[in-house]
Amino acid sequence: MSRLNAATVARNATDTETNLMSGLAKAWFNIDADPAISEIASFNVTSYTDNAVGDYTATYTNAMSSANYTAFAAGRMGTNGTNTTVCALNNSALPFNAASMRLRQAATGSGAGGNSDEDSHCGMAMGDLA
Amino acid sequence: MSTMKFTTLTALDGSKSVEQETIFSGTAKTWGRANQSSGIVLEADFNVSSATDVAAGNYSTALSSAFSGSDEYSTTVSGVEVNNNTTVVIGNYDDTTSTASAIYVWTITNTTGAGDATYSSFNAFGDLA
Repeated sequence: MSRLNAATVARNATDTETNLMSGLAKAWFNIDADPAISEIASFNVTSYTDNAVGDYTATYTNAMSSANYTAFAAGRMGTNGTNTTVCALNNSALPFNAASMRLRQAATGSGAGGNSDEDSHCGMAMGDLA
Repeated sequence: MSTMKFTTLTALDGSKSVEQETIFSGTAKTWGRANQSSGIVLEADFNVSSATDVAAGNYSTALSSAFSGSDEYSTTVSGVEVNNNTTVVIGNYDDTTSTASAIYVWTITNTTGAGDATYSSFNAFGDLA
């Protein structure tokens, strides 16, 4: 096994250095939650928990160093605009957890409590690994 | 400081490789997690020197290292659900306010319109100056 120790990289001698350690995504995933969670693609995710309708937890294979990181969620646009979903970090998961990310998926136009399991739900985490 | 020149990074077993441009362009140049509950507080960030609470549902972040141009980067944002009140985060407004050195973020809830969110996240990809 070889190991490359470098905090930054640059295209050439005059290019601004790119900070790889901070700038690389540490985990991402795309899941199909309808009718049950199945993984479409992922990086650094070991398992998923179906907490409730439109409520999922993704557990990292390698955890973040602390709760001080950031996370992103995205949904999908349904056929002809129907079943469009808005995804977000789940309030029940706050403050952040170093070992997992909890997300929420709700259908637009359905009002409060409109949680929904849909075909595509994406998440990503950025920060420092433990 | 040492310099390593490469065009492609390849795994030892040759199963995967990545071109240098993918590394430079595919690495986020800034990201952050903001709490707007009381003013604006960045609870985690990278390449951000300061944050300003512009108005309800609107804050800006000044970058430590700026992008090469005002419209030469891409911003991704995300919100958080609070008591079934999901926040939608918008990364720009009429394509006029974000600059090479500052990113403006708007948060809109599904019941109140523009409003401060408990949490919102942002990142940006592009070339630094």
